[in-house]
Amino acid sequence: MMRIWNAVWAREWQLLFRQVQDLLQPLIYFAMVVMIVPLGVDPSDDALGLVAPAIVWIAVVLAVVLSLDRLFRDDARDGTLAVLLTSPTPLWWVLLAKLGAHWLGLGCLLGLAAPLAGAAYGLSATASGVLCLTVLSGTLGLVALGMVAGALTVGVRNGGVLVAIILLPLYVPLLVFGAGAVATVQAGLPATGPVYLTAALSMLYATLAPPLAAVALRLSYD
Amino acid sequence: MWTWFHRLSSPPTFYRWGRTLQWVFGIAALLLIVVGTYGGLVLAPADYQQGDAFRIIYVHVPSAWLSMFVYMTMAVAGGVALIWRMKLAELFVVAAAPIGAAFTALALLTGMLWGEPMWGTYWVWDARLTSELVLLFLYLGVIALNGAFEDPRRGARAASVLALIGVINVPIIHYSVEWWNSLHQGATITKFDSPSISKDMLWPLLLNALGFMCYYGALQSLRIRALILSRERDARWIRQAV
Repeated sequence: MMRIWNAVWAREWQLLFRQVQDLLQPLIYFAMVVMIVPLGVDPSDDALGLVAPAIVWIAVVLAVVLSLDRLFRDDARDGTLAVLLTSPTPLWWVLLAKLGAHWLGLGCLLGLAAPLAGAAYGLSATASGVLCLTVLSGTLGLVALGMVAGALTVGVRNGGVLVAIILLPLYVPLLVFGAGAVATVQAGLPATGPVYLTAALSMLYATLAPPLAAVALRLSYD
Repeated sequence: MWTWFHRLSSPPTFYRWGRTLQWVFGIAALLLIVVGTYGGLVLAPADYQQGDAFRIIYVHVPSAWLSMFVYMTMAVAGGVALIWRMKLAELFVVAAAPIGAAFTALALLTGMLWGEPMWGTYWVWDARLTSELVLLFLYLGVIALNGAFEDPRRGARAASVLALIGVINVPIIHYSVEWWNSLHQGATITKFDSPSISKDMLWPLLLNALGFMCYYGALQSLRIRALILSRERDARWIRQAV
């Protein structure tokens, strides 16, 4: 089991570093969404501070949705997926490694970018810190759910739009708690509750996602 | 032990006994809804605060209940479809999604019509309204995913997986949105307490809810039979059955 884990893990990281644009492009998109919102509203600190947690979190969600394409599309095209499906390795184990690598890559980038965006919107240092925490932990849940949606739409023409339609309603709880934590800090209350809830939800999704995604992949390859 | 169940749930057999189911549910729905609506619109007294406008609950509340009930049945059928690969359960999921979406839309629409005179606005971003809207989008996702595949069986299985993920998420969405905000009046009918609604107003509501449920049963049987007809159109038994 561990040998397979190491092999998949190494392969995923190699792919991440060789095709670094797959992670950079969602990051650039995130920065653009963050940049474009103040152009549409009153750019004073008060008004921006009010919407900042929501905007940063929505930008994170959109960036994650955009990044999901790389999870299965190439593997399906070059036949790696067919090999994985026919191999005796439990598929969920491989998918767990995939999930971990993708989250560590994308989640860390977004987790670093989010407090910068928060600071640009005039958030206090604590609020930016909480934003960083919830984005870091929340992206795990976002990527996990996204993996299932990606697995469901592997064989579908025009899957990208479909993934977005499927995912956004499922992302509601993470968005509520993630952005809510920052808003709680802004209101001067302790944010431990929503921060823990974001992390707990992420863990739940990360636990359920690999087996469900494995079922979904097997369906598309029947 | 389960052979009778498998026999009943094979498409050709269901095509035959589904017709009976459809009529039984249909007639029961008609009777219940006629009596319940008459009771609600004529016999029940007007509300002391809301006047006659409260009578929309005889459509609104049953559709809201059904919107969740249909999702539950759809998810259970999805689980059955994935575990036992039962064709009928796949058809159940595919058939249920648009019905559920319609009930959800109806609940939202009637709620908006009631909200305008009562709250002075068609829409507020309150917890229960918002989670109902999210539910509508979950239904639309299931419908979209099912339609995206060329092979209908694969579409149905993918929709089953999505229904299962959705049903794990529905309570989480509900409580997260609850945490977020609530302005909606609390639930008036709960299982554990004696309801805070007068008996004269309650019985038509329960009759209508039961009637809506039967209507769902009738519609569901009809839609499953129609799906069987279109999917198995090349089978020999169809030519004998039709």
